Amino acid sequence: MLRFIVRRVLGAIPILFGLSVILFMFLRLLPGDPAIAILGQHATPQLIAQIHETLGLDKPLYVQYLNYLGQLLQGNFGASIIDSRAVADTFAIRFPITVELTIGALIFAVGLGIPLGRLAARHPNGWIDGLVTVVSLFGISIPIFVLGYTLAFIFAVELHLLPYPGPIDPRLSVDPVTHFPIIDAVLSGNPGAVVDAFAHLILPAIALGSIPLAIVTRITRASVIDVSNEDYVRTARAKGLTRKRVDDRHIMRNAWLPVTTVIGLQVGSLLGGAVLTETVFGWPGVGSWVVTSIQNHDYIVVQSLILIFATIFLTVNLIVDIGYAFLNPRIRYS
Amino acid sequence: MRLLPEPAGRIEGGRVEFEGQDLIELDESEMRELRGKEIAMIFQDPMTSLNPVLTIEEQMVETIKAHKKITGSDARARAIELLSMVGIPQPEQRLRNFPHQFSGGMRQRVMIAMALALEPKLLIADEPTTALDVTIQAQVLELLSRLAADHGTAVILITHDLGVVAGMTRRTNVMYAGFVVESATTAELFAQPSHPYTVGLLHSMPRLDAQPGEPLIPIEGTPPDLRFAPVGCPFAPRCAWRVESCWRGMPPLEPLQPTTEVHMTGSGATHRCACWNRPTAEEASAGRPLRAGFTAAPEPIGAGR
Ligand code: SF4
Repeated sequence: MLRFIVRRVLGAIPILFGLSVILFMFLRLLPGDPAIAILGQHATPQLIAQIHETLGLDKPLYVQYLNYLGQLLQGNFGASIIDSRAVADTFAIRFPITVELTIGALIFAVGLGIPLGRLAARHPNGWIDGLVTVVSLFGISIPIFVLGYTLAFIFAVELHLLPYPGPIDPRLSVDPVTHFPIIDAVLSGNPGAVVDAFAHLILPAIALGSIPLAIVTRITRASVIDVSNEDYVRTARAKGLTRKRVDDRHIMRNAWLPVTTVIGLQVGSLLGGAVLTETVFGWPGVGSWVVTSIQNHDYIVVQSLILIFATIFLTVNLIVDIGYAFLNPRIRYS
Repeated sequence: MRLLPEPAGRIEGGRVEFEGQDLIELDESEMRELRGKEIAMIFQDPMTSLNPVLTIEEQMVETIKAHKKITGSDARARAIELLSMVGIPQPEQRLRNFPHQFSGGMRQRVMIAMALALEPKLLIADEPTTALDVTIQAQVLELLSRLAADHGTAVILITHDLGVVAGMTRRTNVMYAGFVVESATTAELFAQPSHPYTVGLLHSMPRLDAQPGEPLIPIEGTPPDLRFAPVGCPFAPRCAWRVESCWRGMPPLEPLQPTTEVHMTGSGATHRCACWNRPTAEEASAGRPLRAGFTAAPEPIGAGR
């Protein structure tokens, strides 16, 4: 088991290294000069050259890359060209917001997807199954921004049921301690703020969770139907176990295996989806930061963020693999 | 056992009596209480019949607890006792193992232990040794018959292995395409096979007491598709003895000798057979019809098979 983990961690290193090269080259090819983005209309050739020099942009590309890599290895992700704040600092403030949104979406997707999938699997091809299929196809095919704006329009603008935009009402002036909106609200000791923070989370979590919800539902359904036809399920019923026990223990324990893998993979696409969702719902998380940084040609931020996202993605996959091994004794003991 | 899911598995008709109770009439929860406690079952493939992600302990204890109010440690003690009863060494340690850590024969022993956990009155063994090596087969069968005798458990053994039938059973129902075509005490069945299918089975199996050079006679053709109800005798398309009426009507299961009383069970069970044109004793030992000029009746045109 330990060797398995070590091997997987070592395997991630070349991936990250290659990615850093690709990113570095790619961002230099994007149109637009960062110096112009910083200077705006006041750009003169002298000023531009000056900025290039301070940023090291006048050096050959490989020197720029090696400098960048050297900094990275010291844990220094560089600073934003625009506001000169260290990427790591801004990240520490913004990342909790994205995490909260992602967790909210995941809870929505898994919490609803697994029961829905089990319900559909109970009577395959019945009308419930058909309904669930239609809903999940809808969830997969509708773009996040369409769903996001539609939800916001209906529930916030028209019905005034839920707040929009942002992660919490700024008038509550909750002290940012952990930068997780809900945790900060709890720490503020104001129950109203906690309710408000939760209410703000609902719509974006649904928008972001719709695709994973559909996928989790489909996989759960397929997996449960699959396992239900196994011989050992027949054995379990022949032993006179109650239906509930057969479902919960004999079917679900096995059906979980593919479902966990898929949930893990969804974390990656959730981080990607957060870019859109945060923009739609005005959440100051990492996702919306990526968008503004691209608009500002703030390539240091963009390349660092993509690298961080990739690292997170690889880490999550690793955790999923280990979790899978833990759930499945055939792997655990081999 | 009413285990097959509907609509694929459906009981077309008839009665399934267990201790005078028609199992078809029970509701699902009454049926559930019967399963495992009164009627237990072991299956063909021990490799897939145990849940791979639960330990043997979890699977045995839950069986016991499903039917008995008993503490976890008592159930565990019972599980250990059962495992040692079926000849699994170091039962305390093995209890914590997962199925994939056992060999096929050992898994089938676990299945037997689990099936006997509540001392059921009836044990249905569905081809319990087909998936096992020949030497292991013999051990498992020996174990099964010994334990069943010790516990006073009746065993219904489903098998296609006539050697197992001869060695293990007292009474035999020969089934073809879902119908009982011949029924007798095992001794009588082997002494006087009376249905063409039984005769065919006996002649398609190699035996040590066969005459040198005596050929095996395979049963031609393939079993029928069970989704379509047969018209006439289900064995007719493959039968060498068939006469014209075989294509038209299903033969009833009738005693060989006319008798006033038919015994369905026990050592004196009446020998019964469902056939319009029973092979004679000589034909049965030859494995083919011996009557001069006899040919099997051709399939009538438009019979709609
Ligand atoms: S002789 Fe006729 S009734 Fe008897 S088994 Fe053959 S086909 Fe069936």
